Amino acid sequence: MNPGNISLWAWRFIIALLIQVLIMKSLMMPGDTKHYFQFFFFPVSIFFLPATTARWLVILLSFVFGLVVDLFYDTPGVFAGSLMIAAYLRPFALSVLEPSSGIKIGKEGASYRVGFFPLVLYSSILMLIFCFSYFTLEVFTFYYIGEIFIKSVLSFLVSSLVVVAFLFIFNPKL
Amino acid sequence: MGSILLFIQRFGTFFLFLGLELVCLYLIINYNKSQQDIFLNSSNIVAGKVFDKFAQVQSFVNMSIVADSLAVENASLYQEKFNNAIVLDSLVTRMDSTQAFKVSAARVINNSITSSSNYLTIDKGYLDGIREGQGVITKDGIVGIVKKVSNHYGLVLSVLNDEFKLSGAIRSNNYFGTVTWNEKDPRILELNDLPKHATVKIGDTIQTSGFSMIFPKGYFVGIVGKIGIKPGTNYYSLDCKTKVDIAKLNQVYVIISKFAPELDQLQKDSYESR
Repeated sequence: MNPGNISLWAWRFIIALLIQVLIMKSLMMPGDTKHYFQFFFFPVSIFFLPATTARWLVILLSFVFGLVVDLFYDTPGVFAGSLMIAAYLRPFALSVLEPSSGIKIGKEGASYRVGFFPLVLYSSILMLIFCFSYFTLEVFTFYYIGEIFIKSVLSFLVSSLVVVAFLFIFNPKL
Repeated sequence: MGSILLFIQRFGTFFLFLGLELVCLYLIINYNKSQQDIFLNSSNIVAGKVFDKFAQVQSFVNMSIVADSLAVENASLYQEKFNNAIVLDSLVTRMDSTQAFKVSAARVINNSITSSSNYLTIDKGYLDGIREGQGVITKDGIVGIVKKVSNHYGLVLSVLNDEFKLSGAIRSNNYFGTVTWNEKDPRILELNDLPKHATVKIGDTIQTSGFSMIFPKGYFVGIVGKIGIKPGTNYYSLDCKTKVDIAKLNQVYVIISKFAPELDQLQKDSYESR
């Protein structure tokens, strides 16, 4: 992420934010189960930061933007906390993407395109981690672990649909 | 300096993550009501346990002070109870029914149960208002009667003494007799001189008759055990099982009766004049 890109990335964050709070927030499944399905899109913007981005920067950005999303959701700290957990574990997910030839992503070297399915896999891992952390922090107790699991899985599934669509359209570089 | 930089380089991201995550948790707890409730509830549980343990230790340290204040409180409650009982008893409304009894808490500092003439010593004496002839009780029943006092201590004739005599009555029908100790079992007294026509069952309660004013009327003495007839007489001889464990006595209450000396004098005079 060089200075030239910052404005580009700022725009991306803002658009992702707007999509999250304006569209995703209003998306609801009909009926009583609506709170089981939460659509998350914003995390994608963090997950697809260039792999060369410094880890501390990823964490910091996820904190700041997570708080902004929380402002819209009226849940101070929940989104930010869970996004930060996913951001912290990003390198572990990135290692999944390392092609078997052993080239390490994120080290000195240009970013390059990886196939569609590895990208889906990568974002799924992080999205699952994110969903689980989000619902844990939301309930704040492990007493409802069953509910947490159900919510995580369901939200992960619906969010992944959105993410896959995004990947399909934009096919970002890592 | 170099090692600090190395440390930061190795663990910097982790600490950054940790720090920001703690900030998030702080925000979550403080600004989200349901999480706050859960947090307060759990912290209540944890803090509650810690405070509970601490309070237990504290109360252990304070125990003797608390016990003393409880004894004083008990004494005043007994006092109220005995005085109230008089107020309810219409025969005695002519008396100055308030404060006919005063109750004073005392500790047993010496005791004996093995001889046939047992005494116990209490830590209150003449200067505390204790006089000869005052009754001594505990929450479970009768302990004895004060025999001698010095300035700070009192000698109490224990119930387990062949000299001890108490006027006891059956609660259900008010038939009365004399309660003494048969010198056999420290938990069993004997109620004698109960007329044969009185209806008594095993399990009936024996209480003080109140005739001597040493003990207030109706105070628990014991439960009827075996029923027997004194050979050659028309009177029952009942076993009275007491609840008081004289061997374990510690906290007792002395009944300072305002009218006992007067009554005593009256009865003594009337007997002498016969």
